[in-house]
Amino acid sequence: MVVRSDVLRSTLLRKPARRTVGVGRRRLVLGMLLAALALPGLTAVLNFAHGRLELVDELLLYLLVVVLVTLVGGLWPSVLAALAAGLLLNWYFTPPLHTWNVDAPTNVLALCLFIATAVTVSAVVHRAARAGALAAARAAEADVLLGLARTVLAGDDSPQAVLDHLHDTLGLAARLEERADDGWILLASAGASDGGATTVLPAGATLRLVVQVEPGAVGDRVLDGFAAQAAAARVRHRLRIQAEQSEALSAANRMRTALLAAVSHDLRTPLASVKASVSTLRQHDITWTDADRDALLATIEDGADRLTALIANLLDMSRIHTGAVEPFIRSVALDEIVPLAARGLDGAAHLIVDVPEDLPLVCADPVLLERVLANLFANALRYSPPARPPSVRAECVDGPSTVAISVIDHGEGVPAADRERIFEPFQQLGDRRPAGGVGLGLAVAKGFAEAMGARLSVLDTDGGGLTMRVDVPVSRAARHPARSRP
Amino acid sequence: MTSVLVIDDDADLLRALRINLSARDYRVATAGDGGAGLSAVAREHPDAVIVDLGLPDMEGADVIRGVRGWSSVPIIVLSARDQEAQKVEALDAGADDYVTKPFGMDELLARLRAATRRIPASTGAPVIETADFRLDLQAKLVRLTSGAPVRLTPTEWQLLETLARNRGRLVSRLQLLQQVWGPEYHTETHYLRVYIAQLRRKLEPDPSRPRYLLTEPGMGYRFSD
Repeated sequence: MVVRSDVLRSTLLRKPARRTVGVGRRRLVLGMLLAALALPGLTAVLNFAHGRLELVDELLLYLLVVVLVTLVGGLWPSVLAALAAGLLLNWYFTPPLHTWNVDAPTNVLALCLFIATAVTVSAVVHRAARAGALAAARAAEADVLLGLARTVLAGDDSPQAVLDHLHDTLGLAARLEERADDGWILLASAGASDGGATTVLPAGATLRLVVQVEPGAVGDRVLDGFAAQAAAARVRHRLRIQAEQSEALSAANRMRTALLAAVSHDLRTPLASVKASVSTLRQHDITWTDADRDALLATIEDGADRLTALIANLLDMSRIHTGAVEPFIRSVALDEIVPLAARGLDGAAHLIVDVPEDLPLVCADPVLLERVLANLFANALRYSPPARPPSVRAECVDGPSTVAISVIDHGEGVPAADRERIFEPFQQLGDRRPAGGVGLGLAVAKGFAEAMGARLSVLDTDGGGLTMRVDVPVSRAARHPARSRP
Repeated sequence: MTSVLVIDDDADLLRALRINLSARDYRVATAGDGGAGLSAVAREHPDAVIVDLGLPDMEGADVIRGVRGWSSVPIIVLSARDQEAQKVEALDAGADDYVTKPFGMDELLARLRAATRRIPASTGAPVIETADFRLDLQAKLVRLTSGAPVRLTPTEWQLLETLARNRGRLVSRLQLLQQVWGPEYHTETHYLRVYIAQLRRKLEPDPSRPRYLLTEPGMGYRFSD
């Protein structure tokens, strides 16, 4: 639509004084000039040829001139021309000639009919011309509004896009403002204001469109259309933002619901075996053998251990989330931490430990590091095939400013695309996951590692499986040989 | 000897159930996931199946559907899922009863007994004696222990009889509606609420705290004696 903008602009932008009159002042003057030249000219020619033409022919020739004047100059020049033509006819062509008297009554009637017909015809011609001009203006307005509607419907319906469209098609600077407690706040603007006259249009209850143009210079419908579209675009813009927000909220809500379901399942499962065992032991209608009693008690203890581990991870997770972890960083010997971390884990005896005693001390919070490693060990043990136990290896890297602790398993591994996700809590949502897989261990490990300035990363194990690597900075204070050993 | 198959991925729970059920002369088989469970049902032809809903390899509801494809063995769901929609899904899949974890062993045993009890033939229908009333299913008579007869409308009686013949078992809302009102009834659960309330007023010593006519929220009703 912008292709036609120059045409539109010239059609739509008129000077206010001209808008009320059907025809411009230039054409009014032209019409007058035409009447002033054509009528005397015609009179001179007819006077010269007098006697060879009937009065009715002369009447028709004058009528032709009056209609031409109407087409050029509009209504008022044509009325003047009709009256002047009537007088000229009377003076020069109705007997007695060169007097204002008319002797034949038929000629009086002819003159009156001439004037009436001339005025009527010019009125009709004038109205047709004005209706045509009005239709052209309306068509131009409709084109502008259609272009605006297309822009908006094409999806570009921000208030800014509406104002840009106004600026592109009409060449007018405009701004959209919203009512505030004290005055108006600018929401969007297009084009530079030159400080001249402005038209202010209300747009909805709290908005207004300010256009850099004299009031009345552009069709009301066009500017009203822009104002309405700008207001509607503003509303849609808000609704879109709200929809995005509520989508985000409901996604968070779904996540929370899933988390709650996972936590409740993981709490209930060990509780179920504890309660089943306890209620079995409390049934006195059957005498339990010692072996049964021991097995049931072992089940209860195991369930209690699982609950303890889960609750510890839940509490750790909430400490991480609320930023309540305050690491106490000091120099720590890895070969002392690793055995502590492995203690008490299922199958810890299978873990292959390769932590040299002569490693430098590292900067870490020993309690947090122990929890990090314990969770990594538990994860590796859980996913390792029985024939290939996991191993833990520590070595100096980055010559040597860092100690890398690698926990290596030979399980099924994790596809590269899912690497980051495994650190999110309850990655295995719902209750379909390997027994004992709580879904919090890696999230806690990552949170604690980052809290004390270490880095936890995921790598592939050569030959399949996952390697979790913790990079811990080497302590500047003490090198290993300084440590006293019994 | 009644045989029971337990399908659950929690080894601790399997151990506790095996000890208890074995001591009560059930023959116990266990399976750690849905696939093993389905093949165990085909192989062992157990008299009852206890199944967890969240299994490592498939949904418990799929296990139930798989079993229901060819067997009408009683199935009791044993799950930590306690949402009504989850219970209804399991029952719709064909489960007979639903026990929420954690559970008391007495409760599970009672459900298991009810599920494996043969439904008595209508001839020689039993008399059910409770502490508060005596129900004669053949004579269609109810008397309070005081001896006073209880007047029941035909609909009330049919409802009570349906529940009593499934003593201890969960009877789903749909099952009750279709047995008492007719096969075209599906959703008119408010009928059940109204008639159960009337029965409770006539039979229960404390209708607001029912002992015999129990509501299983979202699932159905159970006659407990």
